[in-house]
Amino acid sequence: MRPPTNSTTFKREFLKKWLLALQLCNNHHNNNNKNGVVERKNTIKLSAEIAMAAARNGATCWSRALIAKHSSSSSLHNQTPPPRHSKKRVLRCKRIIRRSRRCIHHGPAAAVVRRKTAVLRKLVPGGELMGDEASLIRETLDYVTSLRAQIDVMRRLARASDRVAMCNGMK
Amino acid sequence: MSSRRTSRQQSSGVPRISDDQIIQLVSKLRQLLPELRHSRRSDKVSASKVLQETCNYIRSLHREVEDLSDRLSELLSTIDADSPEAAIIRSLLI
Repeated sequence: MRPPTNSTTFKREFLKKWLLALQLCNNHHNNNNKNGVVERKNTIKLSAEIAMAAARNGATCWSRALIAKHSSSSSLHNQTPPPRHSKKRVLRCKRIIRRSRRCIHHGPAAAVVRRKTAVLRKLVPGGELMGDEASLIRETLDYVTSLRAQIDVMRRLARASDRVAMCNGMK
Repeated sequence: MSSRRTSRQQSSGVPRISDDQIIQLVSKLRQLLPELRHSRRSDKVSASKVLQETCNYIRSLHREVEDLSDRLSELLSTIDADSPEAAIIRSLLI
């Protein structure tokens, strides 16, 4: 896994890809006349998630997992790379990992950690495929940092849009 | 007994994970978490607490993304992508 990129660089990459994705979705929806607020919200959320993953440039498991998850989605054009894990391989990976993890930890404290780790695996994209705890924690660190960068950019866009709307006297 | 890790899942050349490594990673996680960051470094925070806080934090980040998407969907619906307003927004951000 490549070391985390500079935060500003990541934010720029994310913004670029996100605006592009939003424009593509806008064109797509304008053709289909689907402009409801809920549609729009899902588009914004979906394109932000994909842009965040794409900005990581395939360096992390979580970003690849997100892109694989969305590459079959019909709400975007096929701009994303093909999935790295086919469904069969994913199932095999899960079975093997489960088998290898069964005997590693003992004792009640370890059981608590294992439970929390299992919850974390469900929250981090691709978490179920990460074999050992160290990888999981490393991916979590990167995922959390990327999420925070994504939120920061989205917040700024919201603030900027607010200002523009106010200047136009819409409020 | 067959080996516990198959070669397919392991990237080549990864040494066995030491407890120290995990402790280091957990402390890095701890520094990210707003709840735990402000407590004194010497305070022992258990790994399970850090993991629990991490899960809570990720959930709250997801919620924030939801809320921001809601807010943006209302704001952006009034702005056309090719309009001068969009250009203003772009210049404010970059």
